[in-house]
Amino acid sequence: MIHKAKHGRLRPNRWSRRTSIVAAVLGAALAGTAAYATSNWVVGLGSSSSGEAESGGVSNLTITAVASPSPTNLLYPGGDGDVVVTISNPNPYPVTITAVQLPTDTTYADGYSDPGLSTTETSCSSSTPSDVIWNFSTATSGSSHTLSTPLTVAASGQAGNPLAVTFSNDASMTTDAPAACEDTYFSMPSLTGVTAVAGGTATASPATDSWSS
Amino acid sequence: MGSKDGRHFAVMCAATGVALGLSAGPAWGSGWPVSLQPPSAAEAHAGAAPGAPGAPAAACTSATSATVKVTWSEVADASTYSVYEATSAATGPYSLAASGVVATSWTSGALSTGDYWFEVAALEGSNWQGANSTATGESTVTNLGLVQICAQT
Repeated sequence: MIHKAKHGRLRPNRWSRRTSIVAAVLGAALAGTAAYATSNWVVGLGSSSSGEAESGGVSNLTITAVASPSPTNLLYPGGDGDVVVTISNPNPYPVTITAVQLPTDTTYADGYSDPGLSTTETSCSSSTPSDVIWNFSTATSGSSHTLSTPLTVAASGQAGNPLAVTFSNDASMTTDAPAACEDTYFSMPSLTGVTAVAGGTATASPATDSWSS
Repeated sequence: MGSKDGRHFAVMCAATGVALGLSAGPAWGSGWPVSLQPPSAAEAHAGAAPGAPGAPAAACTSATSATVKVTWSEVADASTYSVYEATSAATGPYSLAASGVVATSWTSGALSTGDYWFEVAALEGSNWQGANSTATGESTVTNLGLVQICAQT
C-alpha cells in the first residue's frame, strides 16, 4: 500500500521497505550457507581409490601395519597373538567400524626379520607356508566378524586419526609353523573389507579391540 | 519501528537462524557406508624358541635294573620334550632316544651294557626346538644275563 506522506509526496510503505531489506539479507545468508554446505559436501576420492568408493564424496579408509604399540601376546605354535594396525579416515567426518571381513584360512602371512617389515624371512613366507592366519577366518573369503566394540576413527585432521588399534589374539599360528618363523614379524594378509558408516564419537588412540568369532 | 514491524522482523530472523542451524547440523553423510581401500596391512610378532631345561638328572630305577629315569624342570611355553642319549662321552655325540614327551620325566627301556649320558630339549609345536640341556651324570649298566646292575655317577 502506498501512503500519502505528510508533505504530499508519495513513498512506499515502511513495512514493505523493511521487509525487502530483511528478505535480501536472509536470501544472501541462505545462499551463502548453501554454498558453504555444498562446497564441503563434495569430497574428492583418493587418487588410488578403487571402484569400492561410494558415490557423492565418500573416501575409503586405509589400514596400515605398525610395530607400535608392541603386541602383548606373541605368536607361538598352536596359539594366538595380537595384531597391531593404524586406521586412517580421509573424510571430513568420523567413521565407525563395526566388523571386518577376512581372507580365507589358507591365506598366510609373510614373515620378516625386522619390525619395519622390510627384510623378508624367506623360509617363513606365505608360500612356505608360515602357518600364520587371521584368527576365526574360514574357508570362505570375506567372512565377516563383528568387533567387540565399534571403533570410530575421527574426522580428517582431528585427534585420533589415524587411530592405532591392537586386535587382541586375532592372529593364529598352527603347531606346524616352521622353525624359521621363530621370533619373526608378520605382515598379515589384507582384509577383504570392513563394515563401516559415517558418524559416531571418536575412539581414543591407541585402542584395543578384537573379534572373538 | 512499530510492534507489527518488530514481529515480522523477529519472524524473519528466527527463520534465518533455523535455516543456518539446519545447514550446520548433524555430521555430514551420517549413516553413509564407508569402504576399505585395498590392500590393508597389519603386523603380528612371534615369540622365540623355548629355552633349554635346567640340568636334568638321571637315576637308575633300581640297582638291579637296566633302566634309567631322567627328570628335568619344566620350561615355560614348552609343549613337549625330546630326550637324547650318548654312549661314548658326556660331550656326545647324542642321538634321539625319545620325542613327544609331555611330562618332565622319562624312563628308558632296558639298556644294553654300557655307559649313558642324557640331554633334554624343549619344543613348542612340531618344529620350534630349543637348545639341549647340559648332560646328566653317567649311568653305567652292566648286563650279566639274568642279573643287571645299574650304577649312577
